[in-house]
Amino acid sequence: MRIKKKLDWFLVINNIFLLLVAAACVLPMIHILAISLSSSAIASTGTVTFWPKEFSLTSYEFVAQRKAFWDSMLVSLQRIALGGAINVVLATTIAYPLSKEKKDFSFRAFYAWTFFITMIFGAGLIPTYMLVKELGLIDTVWALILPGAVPVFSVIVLLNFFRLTPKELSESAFIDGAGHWRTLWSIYVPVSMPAIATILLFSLVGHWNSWFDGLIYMNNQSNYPLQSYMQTVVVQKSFTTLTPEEAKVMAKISDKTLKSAQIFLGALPIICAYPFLQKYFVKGMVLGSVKG
Amino acid sequence: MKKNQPSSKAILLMLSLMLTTGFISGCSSNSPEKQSNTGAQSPANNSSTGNNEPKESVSGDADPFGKYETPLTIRFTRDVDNDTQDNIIPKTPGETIESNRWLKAFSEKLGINVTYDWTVSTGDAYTQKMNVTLTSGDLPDMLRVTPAQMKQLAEADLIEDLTPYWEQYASEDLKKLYAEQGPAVLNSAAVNGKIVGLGKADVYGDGVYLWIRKDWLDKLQLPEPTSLQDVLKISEAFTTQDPDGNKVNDTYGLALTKDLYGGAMGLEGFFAGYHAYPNMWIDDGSGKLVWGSTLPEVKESLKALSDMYKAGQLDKEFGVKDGGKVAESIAAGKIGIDFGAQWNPMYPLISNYQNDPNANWVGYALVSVDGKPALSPQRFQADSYWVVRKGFSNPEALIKMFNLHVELNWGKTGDFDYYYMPAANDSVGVWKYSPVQPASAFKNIRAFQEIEKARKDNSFDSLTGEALAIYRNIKAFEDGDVSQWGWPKIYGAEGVYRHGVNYMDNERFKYEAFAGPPTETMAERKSTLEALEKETFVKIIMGAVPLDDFDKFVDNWYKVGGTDITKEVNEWYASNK
Repeated sequence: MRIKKKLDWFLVINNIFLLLVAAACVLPMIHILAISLSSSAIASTGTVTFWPKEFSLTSYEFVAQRKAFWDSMLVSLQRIALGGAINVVLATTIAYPLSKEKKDFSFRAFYAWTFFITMIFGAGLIPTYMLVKELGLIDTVWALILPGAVPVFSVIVLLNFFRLTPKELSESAFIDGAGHWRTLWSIYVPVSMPAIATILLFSLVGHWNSWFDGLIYMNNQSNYPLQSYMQTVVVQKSFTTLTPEEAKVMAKISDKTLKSAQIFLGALPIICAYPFLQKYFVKGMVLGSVKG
Repeated sequence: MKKNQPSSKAILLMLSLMLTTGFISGCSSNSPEKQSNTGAQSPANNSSTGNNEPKESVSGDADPFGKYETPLTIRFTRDVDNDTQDNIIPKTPGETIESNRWLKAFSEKLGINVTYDWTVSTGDAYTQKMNVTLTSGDLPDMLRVTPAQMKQLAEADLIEDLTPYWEQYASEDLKKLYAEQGPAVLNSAAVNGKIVGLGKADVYGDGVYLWIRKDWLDKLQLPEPTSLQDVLKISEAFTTQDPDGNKVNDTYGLALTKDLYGGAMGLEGFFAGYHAYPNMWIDDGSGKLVWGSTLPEVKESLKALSDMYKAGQLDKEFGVKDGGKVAESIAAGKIGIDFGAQWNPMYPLISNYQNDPNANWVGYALVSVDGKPALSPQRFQADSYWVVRKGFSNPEALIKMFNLHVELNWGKTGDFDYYYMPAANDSVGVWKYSPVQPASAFKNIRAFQEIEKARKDNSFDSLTGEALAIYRNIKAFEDGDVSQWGWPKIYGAEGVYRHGVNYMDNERFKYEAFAGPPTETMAERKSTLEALEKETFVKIIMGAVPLDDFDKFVDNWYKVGGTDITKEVNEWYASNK
């Protein structure tokens, strides 16, 4: 009986703790949603909490007409489609040979380090910018995709996952006459779907959330991905340096409801994608790291 | 596990971001030298499109509005604000950033074709993008840069000296515009005695005012303020006498933020009542510059503020509230006094009116504690300068474009109603289509004077230009368009500019005396000193430390860099007299 009581306490505290963590994640989103659905006058007083006051859809109507928002949404969708696919294909094809033992792949250590080093050291912004510029990628969606085309962290996750796959599977494939390509696509990839889904999710979220590269590599605002655009909407000018012209603009853009509507709509696609990939997510991470 | 891994990745990402952004600022300081080679190559690409007039021929045909026979293509960069995106472009069908009435005017009247290397949104994004552009070495022909960037470019000899061109090519109107607020406006762009850039003409702003909720004054039967003592009394009454009538003690007197200073909800106007001018360089009367925050008058004002705080007249939590947060309190009708610029009704005061139609903010002139008129503190706020890439064939083209901008908007041959705020396009500010946008600091006050005259003679039909556009907005409010509430507050019969006229006529402006680019020690220490100042002042106001800590602050301020900065600033002052 005593033991049972102890367990109960643990469960209670654990549940409360997890509920608090969950609330910390969900409440800001609800707050934003509530503001976006309130009238802009009441929202400017900062009194809206988790339920809209003076319900209004004006901000959504305004966003619907805001071309820049939808342009950048399209760029972002294009980016995650291309970027996600490229990340996953490259991660898979790189992880496969690196998961082999040294006797199968003699320069394994060399290649592994080559990739690993890029994870720790970067060239810095200016050299990267100049490289992208000289390659003629400025103002194209490729500037957002190619610099991060090989997600080394994902490669490591996948590599460990491949190692966990029973050797007998690949051995039998070889006995049946399959080559490395065939083995990879017909054996390894299908059994590694959890891990692949995980790295896909990493890559999608990463591409969706990054904004700085869009700001730097795009010369035309209509090429901005969504988050670069959002950054210009959300970041507030400091009041000490506000010029009269900016103040007049502030009167319009300080509209909190409009900001909130865009934040909410901007987060929506990734929120929708999450549940579908999430079930793989947990499994993949655990499996990939057990023998890490 | 699930939570752990991505967050460690996020930390890595953040770290690398921090490193790289740090890298920009670090790199921009030494890179101009590196890229001077690339910088020198690109003129060749361009001079072929320009006319072949050599640079030395400045003394030749110096027509401020002369048209280039062979069209001259000039590469610019520009920022686009939300107003342009949301209002101007939709209201001007067929026009874009790359093709519009202004670019057409430059092309037809001056033979200048403007192209943009890139466009980006206003603010930090522009500075970041400019940093990358500067370090990558591929400079556009004409660039708008920060004062610090200008100084670096000039020292690396990457931009043209504009001094001779200004003399030769600036039109009379343009010269007048830049002389309005003193010679410092032009000279602020001088590096080693050469004017290398053109900043805004209206850098000082046009006055700090005292905004008070008149409906609260009336309700509590208080007179309008004529001295700072009155303001203190009003503040007390607003706090203790329940001006909003909700039977709850939830109102404050004065609006202030954790940043203390600012164009809205700032304290400069309050300090000015004690003839204290913190946060700017002023002449101490002996021809030497001192940092205004270190003078004894500031201590006196801080004492008054800390008394107000003790009496509950200031928001207990102001020390953690930024402008956006304090604006919320104003919108919610919790605050009755605000020191700020003429545009305060546009933001944030209008949000109060939108929630409470009785809220009636009225602007007054600054008042003082001793009967001597309070001067309106005008900080030098140059945040950007136009410069011309070294080696560009026609540096004077920049000045010609400035000339044309002024002429088409306010000149005799101009057409304000087509180039500035055309009524045909819902009076949106199409002047923003022009890459260069010089404007007079006092144009708004002058527009007010015209409207005021029309009000006296009842001759509204004779209004033209900016005054007419503004009058239309006032009329729109009178006809029921509540979104125009701010206009009569500024330009109406009771508008704040009736005090602006007074400021202008009686020279009640205190201009910041230092107007140069940031000095060496300033670049290093300014943020430390600012932090020290704000922290100390906030603590003194909140009573966390005794008032006498102000003296310790002054000592510290000089110790951690203030001495060097003061010396550098005075060197600048001596050489720019």
